[in-house]
Amino acid sequence: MPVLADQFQYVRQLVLAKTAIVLGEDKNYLVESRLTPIARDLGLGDANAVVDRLRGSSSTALEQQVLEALTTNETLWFRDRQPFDALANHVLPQLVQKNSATRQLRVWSAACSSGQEIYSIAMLLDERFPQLHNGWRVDLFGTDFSTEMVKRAKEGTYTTLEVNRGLPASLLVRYFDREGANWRLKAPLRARARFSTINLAAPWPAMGAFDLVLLRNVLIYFDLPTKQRILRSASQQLAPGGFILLGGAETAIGLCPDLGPVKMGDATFYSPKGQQV
Amino acid sequence: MKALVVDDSRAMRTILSRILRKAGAAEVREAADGCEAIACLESGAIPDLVLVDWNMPNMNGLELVNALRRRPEWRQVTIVMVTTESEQRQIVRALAAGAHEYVIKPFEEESLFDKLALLGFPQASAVTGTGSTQQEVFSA
Amino acid sequence: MSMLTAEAVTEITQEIWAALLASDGRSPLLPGDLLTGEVTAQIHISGEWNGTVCLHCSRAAAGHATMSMFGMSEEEVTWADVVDAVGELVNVVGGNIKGLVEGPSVLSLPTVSEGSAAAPPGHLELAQEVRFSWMAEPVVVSVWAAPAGE
Repeated sequence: MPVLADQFQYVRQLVLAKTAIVLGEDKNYLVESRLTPIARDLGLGDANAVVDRLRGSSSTALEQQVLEALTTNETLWFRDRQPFDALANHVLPQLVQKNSATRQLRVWSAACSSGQEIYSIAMLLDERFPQLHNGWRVDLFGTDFSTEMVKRAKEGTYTTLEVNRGLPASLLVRYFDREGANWRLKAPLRARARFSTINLAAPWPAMGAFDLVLLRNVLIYFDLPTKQRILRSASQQLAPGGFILLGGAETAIGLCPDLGPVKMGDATFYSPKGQQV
Repeated sequence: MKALVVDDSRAMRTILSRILRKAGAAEVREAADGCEAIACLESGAIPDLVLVDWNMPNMNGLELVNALRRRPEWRQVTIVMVTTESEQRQIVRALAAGAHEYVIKPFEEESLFDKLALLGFPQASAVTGTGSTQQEVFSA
Repeated sequence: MSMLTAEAVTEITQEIWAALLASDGRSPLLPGDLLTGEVTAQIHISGEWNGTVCLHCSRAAAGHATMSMFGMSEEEVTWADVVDAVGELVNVVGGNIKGLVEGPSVLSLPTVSEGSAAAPPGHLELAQEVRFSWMAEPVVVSVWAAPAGE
């Protein structure tokens, strides 16, 4: 049964307050479908009962569980061709060249969800830049607001539906093992990435400078001041010569005066204006 | 793009044809097994893309893939297997026989769009890749 | 250690429903405990592992599935369409369950019948049964296996 109107508004306010994410007015059905599994886990009747419990208690665990259930979305392998082609053919070669003395490469997937994006980078590096196995320190770092997603990313196990999304079959057979109904990334590939929980809308921990920051399809959820703040912080997180990549339909233009667009292949990346050649 | 869907299930053929039309296919033909598929090609209608189920009577999907790859005049046809066969061994066999891509059932329609985009079919790229699902879910 | 767990069967069936029945998230396949229904589809697995996968549901659920897969309205649905749609569902469920058990093995063609739950051949034992509710209608997936040592 649908979530009651004032329960729905309560949830919307909570999500906005805690994550700066705006949940559309017409998404009642989403709240219902995302909270019903929680109701089941807790032995409560339905989604309304979950919201009742949430309002009545000060349990941060339940709050976190609800927030994560509402703010998690699907993610794909190699999302959008052009950026990954651009990474393979233009950006990564340039970064590798730039860092040939330090022999270090650091990539941050800043809304990593269950890990597909950063593991896609790992597979790309493995396939196209095998020289990085010789004496390079490659740090592939994935973070997400959701502790559940981070846990899933570390596990590296995916359902059939998930591995069907954007993953070339040749990579499936090369990098995954079937485990029952699911598919798990082989251990050497999993070992290439590390994961942690970060709320982009809250202050960030010290992370060091990155050569590549992937901030894809996550800014759309935030209100304008938060978007601007996140982009500015991301630009400050870049090593000299580093790049930010946003989602296919996104732009930083008008949001962050520090950043300017750079065409690499058929894709647009962003780098601090002072540094552009 | 002209496509041919080969599956012994009428329901699955209907679903796949619908998805292909959404992905921009100008023409979609159907065949219930490998033999019908071969007959279709031999009649002169060479598709750009063939979706092939594995388990079918008369001529199964793997046999069809082999048959398609054996004929030089059919070499440019892109072949995607769409099947419940999910053992790695089977996927490797299919790719080795010449299938270009492989989709495990069940699949969402977006998976087909993704695979078509990977294979360079332009219409499919226009349908996918703009975060449509996420934008449907949240609107700021 | 068997991979044929209730969790795996549940996950497989829910994925199939989500993917093939165009529910757009609004009509999920939920755990349920409604009485089994009037349509039964079966598919056999034979080889290294032998058994039968059954899909039981109400006539209404079978109708919903058929309308969704074929993009038909209620008036257009015929029994032949139901046989095809539900047959394909049990085919995909069976194919995925085949992935959980000892291989190599092959899937039969599916059969679909009307009437109360037709049990598979008597000598098979129930290995797993998961009950769901879909659009408030019953859907049950059961897996029957040859007894150990057979």
